[in-house]
Amino acid sequence: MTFRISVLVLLWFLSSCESLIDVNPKGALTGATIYDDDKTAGQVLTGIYVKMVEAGFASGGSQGMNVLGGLSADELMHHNAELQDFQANALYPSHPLVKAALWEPAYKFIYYANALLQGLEHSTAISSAVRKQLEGEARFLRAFSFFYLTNLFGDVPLILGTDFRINQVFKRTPQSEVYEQIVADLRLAQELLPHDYALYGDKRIRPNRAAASALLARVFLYLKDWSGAETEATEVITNTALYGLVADLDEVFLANSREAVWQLGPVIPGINTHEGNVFILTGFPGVVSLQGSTVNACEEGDLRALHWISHIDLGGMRYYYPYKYKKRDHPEGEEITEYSMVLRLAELYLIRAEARTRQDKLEGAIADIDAIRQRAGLPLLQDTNPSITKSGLMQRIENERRIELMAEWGHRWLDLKRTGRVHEVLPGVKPGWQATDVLYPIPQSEMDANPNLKPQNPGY
Amino acid sequence: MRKNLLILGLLVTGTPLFAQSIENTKVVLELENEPLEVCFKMIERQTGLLFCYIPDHVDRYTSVSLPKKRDRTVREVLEHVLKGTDLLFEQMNTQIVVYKRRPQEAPPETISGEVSDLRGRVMSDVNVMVHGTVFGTTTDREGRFSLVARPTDSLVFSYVGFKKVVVPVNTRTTMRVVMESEFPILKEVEVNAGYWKVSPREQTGNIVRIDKREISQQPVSNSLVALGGRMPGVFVQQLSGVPGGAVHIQIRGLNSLRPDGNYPMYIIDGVPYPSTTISAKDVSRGILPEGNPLNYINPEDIESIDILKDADATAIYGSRGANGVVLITTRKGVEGRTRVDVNAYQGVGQVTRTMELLNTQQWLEMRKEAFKNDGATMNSFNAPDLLVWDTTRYTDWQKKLIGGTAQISNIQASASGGNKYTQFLLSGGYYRETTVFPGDFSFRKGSVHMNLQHKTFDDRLNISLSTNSSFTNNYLPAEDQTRKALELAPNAPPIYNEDGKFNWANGTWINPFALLRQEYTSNGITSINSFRSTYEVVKNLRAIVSLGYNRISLEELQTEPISSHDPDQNRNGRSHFGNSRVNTVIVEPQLEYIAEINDEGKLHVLIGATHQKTDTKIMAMRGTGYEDDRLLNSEWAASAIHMMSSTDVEYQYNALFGRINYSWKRKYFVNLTGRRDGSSRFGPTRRFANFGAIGAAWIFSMEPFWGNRFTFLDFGKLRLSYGITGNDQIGDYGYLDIYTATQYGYDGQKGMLPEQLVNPDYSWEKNRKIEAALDLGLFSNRVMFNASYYHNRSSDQLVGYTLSVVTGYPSIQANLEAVVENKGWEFGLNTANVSRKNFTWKSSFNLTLPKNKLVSFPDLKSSNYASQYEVGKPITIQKKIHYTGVDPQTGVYTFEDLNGDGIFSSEDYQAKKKTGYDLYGGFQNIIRYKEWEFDFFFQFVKQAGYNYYALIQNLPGTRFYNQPIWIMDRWMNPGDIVKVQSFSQSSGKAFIAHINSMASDILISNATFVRLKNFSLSFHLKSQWLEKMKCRQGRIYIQGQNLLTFTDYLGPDPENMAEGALPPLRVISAGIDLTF
Repeated sequence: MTFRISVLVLLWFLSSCESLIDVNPKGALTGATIYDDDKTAGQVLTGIYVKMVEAGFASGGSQGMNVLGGLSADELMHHNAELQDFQANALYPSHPLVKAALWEPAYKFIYYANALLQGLEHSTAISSAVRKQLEGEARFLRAFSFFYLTNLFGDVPLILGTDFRINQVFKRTPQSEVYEQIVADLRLAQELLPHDYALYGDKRIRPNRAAASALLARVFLYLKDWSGAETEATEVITNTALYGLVADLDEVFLANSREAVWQLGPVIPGINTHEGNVFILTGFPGVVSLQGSTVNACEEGDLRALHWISHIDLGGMRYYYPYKYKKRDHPEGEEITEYSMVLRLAELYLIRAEARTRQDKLEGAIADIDAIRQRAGLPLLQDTNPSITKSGLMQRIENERRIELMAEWGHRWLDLKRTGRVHEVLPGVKPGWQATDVLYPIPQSEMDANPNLKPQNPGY
Repeated sequence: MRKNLLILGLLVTGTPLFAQSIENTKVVLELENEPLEVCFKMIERQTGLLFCYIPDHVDRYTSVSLPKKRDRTVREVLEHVLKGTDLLFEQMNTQIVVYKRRPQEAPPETISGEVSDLRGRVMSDVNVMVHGTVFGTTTDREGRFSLVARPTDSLVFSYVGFKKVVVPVNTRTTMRVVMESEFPILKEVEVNAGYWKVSPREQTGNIVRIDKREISQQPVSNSLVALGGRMPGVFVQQLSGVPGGAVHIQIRGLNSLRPDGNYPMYIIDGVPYPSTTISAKDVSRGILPEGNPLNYINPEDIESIDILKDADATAIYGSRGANGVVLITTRKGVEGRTRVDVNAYQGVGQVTRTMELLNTQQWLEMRKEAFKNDGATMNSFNAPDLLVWDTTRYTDWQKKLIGGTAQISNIQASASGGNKYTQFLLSGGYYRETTVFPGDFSFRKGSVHMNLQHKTFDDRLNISLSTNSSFTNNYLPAEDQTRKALELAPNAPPIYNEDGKFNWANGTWINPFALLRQEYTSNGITSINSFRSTYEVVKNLRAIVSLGYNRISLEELQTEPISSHDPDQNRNGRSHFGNSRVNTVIVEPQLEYIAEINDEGKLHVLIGATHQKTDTKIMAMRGTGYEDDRLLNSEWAASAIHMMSSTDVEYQYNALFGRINYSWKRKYFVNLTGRRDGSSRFGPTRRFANFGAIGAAWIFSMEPFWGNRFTFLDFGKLRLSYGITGNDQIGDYGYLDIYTATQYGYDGQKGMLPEQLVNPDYSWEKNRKIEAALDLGLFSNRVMFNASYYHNRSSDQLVGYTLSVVTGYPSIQANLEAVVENKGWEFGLNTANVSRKNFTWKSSFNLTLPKNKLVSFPDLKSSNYASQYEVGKPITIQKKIHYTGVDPQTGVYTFEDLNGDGIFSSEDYQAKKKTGYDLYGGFQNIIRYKEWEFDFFFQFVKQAGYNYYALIQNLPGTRFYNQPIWIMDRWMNPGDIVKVQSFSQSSGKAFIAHINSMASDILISNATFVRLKNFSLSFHLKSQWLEKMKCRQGRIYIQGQNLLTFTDYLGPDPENMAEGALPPLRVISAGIDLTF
């Protein structure tokens, strides 16, 4: 009897091997189940925002576009060996930050967005309203990441799927095609996203239609599609119900300010925004400080020099720093008062000013610039120089952008590059400047892992 | 009730009074032509008395009759039914033994014979005695003897180094006696092979054992430490002297390219036990970055540790046997009068080695020179030590921070005993170890161990239950102080102000004693339970069920009080909380068949199945914003709680295994083992795989052709084994497309993101092992020698296959066609140098010569591993810039610029140096003289490792690091030929050279050492003293651990080679061990 039982027990083990070792992960969902539910599908998108703020080019921190772009241009001064090569325009393919701060996070966000778009496509359980919303945001974020990738690296693989077998041998896509996809994604986002922020609890921490239009306006400006840029910028500027320039310079960067088109909310406990945390100096600078030349570029009486720039004197030296964000950290229990600004109305005025100038609509351009100058407490062009020439106006716009968008998202670096002015401005202030420095190198390990990414950008 | 008649021998003892005597116990019986056995059964049923007899003797009487009568005593009944038979009976306790009447005493006769050994060699001078008498003789040169004895006598044959043989004479007048050597060193203690036991003589695989004696003579809290240097092929490294610290064990080298893939499998009493710490790393990182779960087991509860090395031994563990298996057997009850054993010792410990660092005068000289060299101006920011601090102070920070004496106390009591059928063991222990850090830190461990074994009278059912529980409390500083002790400037400020408060010197330093206020506490409970039952279903066939359950739980707390910070920083308190547990359940039904085939063959077959389930949960939280230090131990008092990490995984494992072992003529052995495994760590299509091995042994010394040719050789065995094992040490759920929550949320909602790229097709790493070995016993087995050659190749390496990150991830888990080879020689030599009655001296020596090589790695150059490995080199190769000395002209370090581009980058890396060992072993001597026993053990390792330069960021001159005294031999003037570059306080060419040196092979140097690892001197109490103390045995002892170290290593300790971790302690203890 016992013998029979033991044989039976053994047989039972044999027959049930397969089912006995099935495990279900706890605290995790699988790709097969996460898109079965509106809420969990939405959390994928939330995850992208978390990662954007945590670290990398969109974080506003020491690895952000604001720091790295500012260094590559003539805006910031480094105080950290790792950042030296950005300031010296002496990057090399194996530079750790090129991959870790720029290339890798951007492709990570793109992967997440692609996974979400694919999940939505295959899911039948998601409600149509949520589907629309998620697709709009995912496409917006994908376009946003590709915008920075292509502006920093030139031709980049246009990855639109998640299959690693395809992606790991992907070739670099010509920049024009990358831009086509960016425009297509943003056009769709415009249609899919809501017009206001009601869905986000009136917080401006997720992109809406205006954010898509604002980014599109910038894209058209970069593509030299002047009328397109003007149209898109106008759409946002004229939406006065939601947007307006904030008169008090100290309130521009507050959470949900009227000037904000899209902001990134707080993620890491203990800090308000990474920008405030990295820029504001309380001792010797550990990351960056503001170049004196940027401070000098301010016109006499520019209120922005008083409100958006500050300094600290240490060891006989004066260190300037951007002071747009006023909070260095976030003490426990206090309310978060500042969000990291990504897209704001002032940029749209400047985009439209430039687009109008290019289309010889100088009067409108002057009005747009004056909107910005007025807030900065500067005399209006309309009064001081109403007959300014087109090229004079272009120079004015460049200066205006330099101050207004100072230390935000590497605007200065991208502006100098797109206008070609980089070759006139930087050789004078950067001893080792080479024309090929306009593009960052493709990370070496990337080309090692996928030789199809060759050739390397020129000059490396 | 049938029972073997061994008990007969006891009949000579008298029959005392029993409660139930056959004289006065009455029965009512009536029998008519019934078998005698039925009569016995009826008496058993009516009285509770038990009959004991040899069935053959009783079965002959098939028809006995007994007329009915009231009130007959058992004696009367038995006298009646046994009348006319050749049986007698006698009562013993509650048993009635029925036995055969002895034949009449026969007259003595002359008996002659011949004695030879197992190999047929005749043995002269063997003592032949008539048992129980003084009559005897010895064999002559031809091995012959003759003497006079009665048929009832027994002859006893004895010879030094051979097992005693007792032969009953019976009716024989001639006899041939074969004597077997005693293997004085290769004891016939069976080793544990996992699912079975095997004697060393018959072993086909490589299993080495360390037993209680060797473990208990080392004052250590983790039994793994006790293995160091004692077994060939087993490399043990104690990584920290902090109680509860990590111990690494490597069996036959590194097989996997994944650092986490090189742990052996641990099994305690048949139940798998975690090989890595379960501590929440976010909480314990500062003081116990690794830890080792075997710290929770009391070494005194361990009977033996057996280590399985080759394919033959490990293949039965299939996919988990690649890195070897460590089998831990806890103590079991022993038959006999109840023994109570009490053992207690008290010891002191200090760090093994410190470094000779600069004194204040030298420090100031270095710093000033550095400023001069750099042309830099001092200010209060870059030179507080020169401008702000008192430059006349001197503190020996090593003495202050790690120079204390740890107090170690251990007490252990156990009771064990039982009869032939039931044995028990109960044991309890308490261990306490304070630390060498300032403060009242300590590690405490209490343990309870219990074992119960029972078998039925007929020996058909055996059951055994063991439970082991331990409770640990580890109270330590949150940070290991070793780094601070080595780095602090010798003139750093005083710790306290005059008012007794911490001195912060205006924020120019971090007060190390304030940091000591940051504490780490862990409370662990470990419970290991195993149950095993075997039942003989039919003759030779046994059914076995093993069940096991393990649980380890750990609660941790790391506090960062307000008072540990400079008050000027105005910081709130923080705490880190950890909560972890691991549960393992295992069920293993088995069938075992053992049969003798044709007298000379023996077949041993085992089949079994395993189902294991392990779930692991590890969680870490951070509480911030505490307003009061007294509340730091509460999650509730925090103003905010953040989840730092959370692991909650389940592992399931299924297997079917089997073994066929056949031995023929006691000299040929073949052993086949196999296992079919299924593991939840792999995708549904790749879950199952087969593993197996064949082992064979040949005791060639038993062959006739060997005969008398080599008389000095008593025992010779050749072993060969070949097989495939696997490795599934990889994270759970790796094949699943899982989405996990992000650490932080956005707008009040947590994100869910894909964790990894999915490859459902990866599977086990495979390790193909070959071994050939030779065991020799020489000079009457006084010298035992063994040599093994092993050759293992580990393929299908489970590594992250490098991808371009445009795929979303830098790698995907895959089986790479990379092959890692480990091969080497292992030698063991055991000698009995002197064996006299009052003086014995035994030595044992082991040596391992390992070689590791990366045999192949497809597309290495383009992989993430390009800067790490090189084909044809060991996997511990360190690719670095090659350091070429101090330039006598410029005074800075120089390096070989491989590509000649003038800068140093990864393109200049060369695979010139490796870390790790080339040779290791140990040498032990045990000397007994009368009551004294003296034992000492040296461990030696020839190796290279990261030295002082790597451990401390070595830029002599910088304000942050004190330096070893030898850096004073630095470059000062052109033409100086020195080892150390010119001082710098972090700028200029010396600083750049320093940065390059951090990526150079200057960091790696010789770390060879010889260490007097253990020493033990015991005195066995004399019997007259013992009698007075009412003791059966007694021993007083002194023990020492890590007593002397001989090394040229450039750094604190060559064993742990870490600046951030406390060196292992040198411990001296004294104790007493009494048995009642």
